[in-house]
Amino acid sequence: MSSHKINIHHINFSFIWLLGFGLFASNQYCFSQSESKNELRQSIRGKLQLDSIWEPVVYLSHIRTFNDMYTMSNQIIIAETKVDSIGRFHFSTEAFPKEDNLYRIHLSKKEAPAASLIIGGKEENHMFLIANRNSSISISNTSKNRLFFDCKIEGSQPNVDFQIIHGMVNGDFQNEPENNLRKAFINKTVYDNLRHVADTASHPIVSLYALMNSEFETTYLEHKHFYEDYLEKWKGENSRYFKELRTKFPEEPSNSKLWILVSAAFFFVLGYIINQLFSTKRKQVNTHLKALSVQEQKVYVLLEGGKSNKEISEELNIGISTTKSHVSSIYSKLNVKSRKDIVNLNKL
Amino acid sequence: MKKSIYLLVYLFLFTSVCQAQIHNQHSCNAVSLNRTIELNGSSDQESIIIDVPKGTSKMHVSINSIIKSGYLTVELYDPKGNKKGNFSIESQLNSTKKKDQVCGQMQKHIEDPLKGKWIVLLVPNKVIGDISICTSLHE
Repeated sequence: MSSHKINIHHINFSFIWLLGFGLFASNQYCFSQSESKNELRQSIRGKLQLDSIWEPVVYLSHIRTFNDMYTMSNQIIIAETKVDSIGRFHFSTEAFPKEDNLYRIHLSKKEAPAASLIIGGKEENHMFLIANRNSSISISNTSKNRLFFDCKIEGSQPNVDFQIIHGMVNGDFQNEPENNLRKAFINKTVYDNLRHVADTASHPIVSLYALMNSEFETTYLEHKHFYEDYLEKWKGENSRYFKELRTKFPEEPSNSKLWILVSAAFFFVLGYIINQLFSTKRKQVNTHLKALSVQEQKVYVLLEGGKSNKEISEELNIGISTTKSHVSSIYSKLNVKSRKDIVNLNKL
Repeated sequence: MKKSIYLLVYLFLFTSVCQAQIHNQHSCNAVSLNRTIELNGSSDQESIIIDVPKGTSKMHVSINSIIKSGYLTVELYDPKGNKKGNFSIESQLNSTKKKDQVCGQMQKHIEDPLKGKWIVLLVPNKVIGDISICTSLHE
């Protein structure tokens, strides 16, 4: 009986242990699955065919303004990752800002500084990407002879659009003959197309990149309404890319600002006129006061204090008729009609 | 039959030699200009003029720079004053190790360039480093 009991306990213990292990294993599996999915969801990853001239390290730089697209320093590089033996690399975007920003990935030649920028030619070593914290971008190149030329991008339509615009901006049209109409025509067509892309693109950075490369500064007056509408359309965008753009347009005072300026000027002029009027009157009063005799000035001070004729005569120890005579003289010299006017004169 | 084969071989060799001569002639018409500038803490702006004569069919400009410290901006302008390319590099380290320095390169290949004075403008700010500018013009 006792051995049977032990058996049951043993079975129970084994069952619990197995159940626990099963739960732990499934939990670990689910966790690793979700983690790897998360890793895929929040990353810039790629597979590159590399020529032997390149160091197998990919560097990531944060491009804070369009002016910095072709700037290189050690400080601008925010991350680096090794390219494995089959050409794969991976950057997590978990620490990126929530909003879309512009980034640049590049490789350097062996024995060259990590902070190396090669612009143009077959050895161009960089490409630009738009990304945020939740980005999932996959890139791959098609030839080891040109690093990021004709790169395939998956998982991000804004980046596909951005590369198309980049191709338009740096493409073969730049090499068309300079001295003929064809060049001018192609340029105009490209800039018109870029403005069209800027107008229709739904992604702010893509739209802005197209606009920034459309020679907008030289065609501002020609297409003034277009640019005004453009700024109005993106007025809610407060990224530093748009702030940079707004500084490049001549700022016109808005209606509200104009009203504030006009009102301020009006009240300034009004205040000046009133001040001039009162100061003229004050000067007149002062002139008249100087015309009063010493005794009249004493009477005037008491009149200002609201004293009656009797009180004035008692205070100055003069007769009431003399007081009346002084008061009458003061009225005539100051050109006033009552005691109230004298009090008001003092308020000027 | 044999004579025909010899004739064909001679013809082939003759055309090859002619082709090589033509190619050589074209190469001879290329003008190259190389210039190396060493900056030792300089902040003086400098303009390097590339005089492109009439009839130039191709121009290739290659600018290589490597700096140990300072901030350098390089710009390329055509004779009309339009900017055709630029880059900026900055190093705060003043390192002697090449790996820690900063490098900027720009290559421009222009078909039928505007004749006149093209300008490579160097704007350094306390730069210690080297810049080399290689230009080749082809008729």
